[in-house]
Amino acid sequence: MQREIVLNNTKYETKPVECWAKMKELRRWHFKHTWEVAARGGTVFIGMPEGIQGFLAGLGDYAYPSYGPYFTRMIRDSQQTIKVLEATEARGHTRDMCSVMKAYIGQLYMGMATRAPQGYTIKPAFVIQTLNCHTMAQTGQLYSEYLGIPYLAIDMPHKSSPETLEYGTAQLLEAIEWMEKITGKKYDDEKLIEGVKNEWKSARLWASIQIMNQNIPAPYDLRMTWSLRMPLISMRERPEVVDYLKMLYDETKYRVNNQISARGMETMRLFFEGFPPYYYIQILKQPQEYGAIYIINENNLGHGLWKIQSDGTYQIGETLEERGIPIRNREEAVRAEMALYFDRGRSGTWYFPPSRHIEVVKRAKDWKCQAGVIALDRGCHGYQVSIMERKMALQEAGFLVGTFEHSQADPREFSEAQTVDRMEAFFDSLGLKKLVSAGVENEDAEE
Amino acid sequence: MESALATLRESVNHRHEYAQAWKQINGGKVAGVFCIYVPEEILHAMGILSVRIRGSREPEDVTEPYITGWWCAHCRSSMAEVLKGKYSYVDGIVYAVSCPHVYQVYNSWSRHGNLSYTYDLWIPENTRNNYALGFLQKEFSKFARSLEDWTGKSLNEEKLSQSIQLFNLNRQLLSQIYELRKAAKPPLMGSEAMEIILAGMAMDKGEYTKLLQDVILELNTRNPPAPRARLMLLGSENDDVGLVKFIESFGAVAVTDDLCMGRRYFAGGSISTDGDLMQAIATRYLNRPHCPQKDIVERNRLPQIYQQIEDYRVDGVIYLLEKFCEPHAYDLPKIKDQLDKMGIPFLILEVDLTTPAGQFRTRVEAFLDLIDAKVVL
Ligand code: SF4
Ligand code: SF4
Repeated sequence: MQREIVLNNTKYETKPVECWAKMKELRRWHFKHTWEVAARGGTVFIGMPEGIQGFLAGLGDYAYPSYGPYFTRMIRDSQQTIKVLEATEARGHTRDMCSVMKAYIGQLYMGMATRAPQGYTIKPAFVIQTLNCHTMAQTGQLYSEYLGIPYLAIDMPHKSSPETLEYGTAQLLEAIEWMEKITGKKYDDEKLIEGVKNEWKSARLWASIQIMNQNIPAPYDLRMTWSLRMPLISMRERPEVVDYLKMLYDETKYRVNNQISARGMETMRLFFEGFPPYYYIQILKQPQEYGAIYIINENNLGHGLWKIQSDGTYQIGETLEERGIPIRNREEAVRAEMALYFDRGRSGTWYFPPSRHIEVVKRAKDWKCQAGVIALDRGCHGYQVSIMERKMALQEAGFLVGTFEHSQADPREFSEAQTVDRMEAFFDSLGLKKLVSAGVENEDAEE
Repeated sequence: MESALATLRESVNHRHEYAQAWKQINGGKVAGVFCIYVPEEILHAMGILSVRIRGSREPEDVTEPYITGWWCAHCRSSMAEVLKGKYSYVDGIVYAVSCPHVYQVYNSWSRHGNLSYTYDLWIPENTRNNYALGFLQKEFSKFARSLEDWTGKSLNEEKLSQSIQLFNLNRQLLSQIYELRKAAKPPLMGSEAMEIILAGMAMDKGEYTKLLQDVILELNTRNPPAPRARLMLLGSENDDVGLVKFIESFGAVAVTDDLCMGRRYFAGGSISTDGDLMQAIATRYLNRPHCPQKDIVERNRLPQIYQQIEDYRVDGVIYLLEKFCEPHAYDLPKIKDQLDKMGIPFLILEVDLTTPAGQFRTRVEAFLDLIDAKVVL
């Protein structure tokens, strides 16, 4: 089945997103924060505790620079990225491992992962990792052994059930005592409660913002939301991020009510499945040359609070109050944190759900896409699960799907010229024509 | 002579026919299992034949619509067998959460196959956390209930206990066979050991166990020459008997291994039949020698590898690294560093669906020359 594609040549008003400045300010703050916390004797740890950020708030004065603070900066510089990847390979790791993790591990071997911009080195108190991505799990192990620091690994099943909820809760409760022992500092339940509540709020706000992108015209394209979500990744549990997302929510509503579009035109609305090459993020803007836009991406939605229905519909998830989940003490807070992990989209419990091929089609329809692109990523093993099934399901549902290959953090695995060409051929096949001017740019979005 | 080993080999080479015949004779269901973390004792107690899903390791061009080309050969080859209808006798499939590559095969087969049962079993990744046992015990109980729904039969404690005892005996016999390999003149080749393990992944456990007893008797009558070098094979889901034969064709013998289709399948002790049986089974699966995927925090795999090198007086280690296999790629530098410290020569052979025979020949020969030189010195 193939869908009839009708181009929408309407021109819309567009303008820069006012929250960019706030987003950038938060990101700068996050970067500096690690070293400030270290300097004043707070708790600095390392890892990617995806899905349990609120839980960490109980540590009080804390910071975590992921598996190293310089990833974003490094990835913009392909030569530097290659050096780091080669440092990993020189130690004996293979080329086909996750390129993101390799880009971090190389920084570890080069001494960058724990080095402050001022030149001194810090020793993180421990590594913490949720085991939803096995690659991160083994990265955590490697860091812990290399740096000689303890490893807290939280097992995260992918299915939501009373047993898995209890299992996760029990581990987190025990982890509190473990962290107290390691750091010698008291864990603060009040801060935990606040952190968990904030995380729920952040996730709910993000879902509410993303769902507004179902409107025609869409207030944002994927290039914009890819950057706008950054504070959610690194510090969704903080009140500043909740405030930022509230501002963004209001701005999004304003844009929708006033038909302010992402790029001024949306001749076609496209989905983009998979991770883009981080060193060539401008690929997300390529459709603009045709007045078209990428609208949606599973991972990007995954930071929101959703209730994914059996037919694949993404419905905004209920708040703590609506769900009747009380948070009055440590145990309730931790259980609520686990409940949120299971209720986030496909970014926590991601690669195992068997329904992803159903969801991808429903998303494409609900966000009113007419076609789209799937990035086949040799870097990430987890996210690639079911990617071909998703492609097949989209095609069976009548969507035209273009693909290209890359590795998200390894520039050696990408040919810019070939990919751009390939995408151009795909856009041509959709009946799109290159525009002389592609509308107003939001250059400020280049993060 | 050698009839038991020949029978096992036959069932490996004709595993699909074996399962079809079993089905016809017994009228039972056949479950395809992924990964060595599926508790086969429970399937056995329900009268189900469990067969390990694996490929033929032949070049294939049928999986591309389902799996990208950078998935490991084990998974692509397994999927190719599914698509070619080789597993048409399989009624249901069980996945025990391990690496995402395997999940893809499970996922695609579930979606396109004609199966009456699929089950996705969560096995803790941090197997040493304090709650893993209680959790896995419940998971296994849930799994047993779902099998009851599928088969319409109920799981009887008595039968489960008998199955556990059979599997215990089976593991003991396999351990005995591995013990024989410690001898200065190991009575069996590494390729034969792999065939023995693979037979266990294809056959009815009762029949297999009886044959193992005969195999031990047969092996005790052998008097082979001392090998040129004693090797250990490391790796993941390597089931390529031909490759092991090829390595051994230069006079060396693989005397032990750390492979899914090897020692990792059976090692790790017996299951108690006193007390709660699900708990006992869960205990075994959490404490078995782990693959890197489940060897998080306090490792048990690496110390066991180093111990085996001593116990089996290994001269050199060959890592059969499946291309694109990330869990194993993570451990490589650590293992290499330790072997360097131990003075054990180490060779990595990156394996895919096809074996680059010329290149491997040169590398294996050079490796064995290195070991020879060491022995002379
Ligand atoms: S999710 Fe993918 S890209 Fe991210 S760490 Fe895991 S394997 Fe790597
Ligand atoms: S662990 Fe390695 S060999 Fe085994 S299925 Fe996964 S990628 Fe393949």
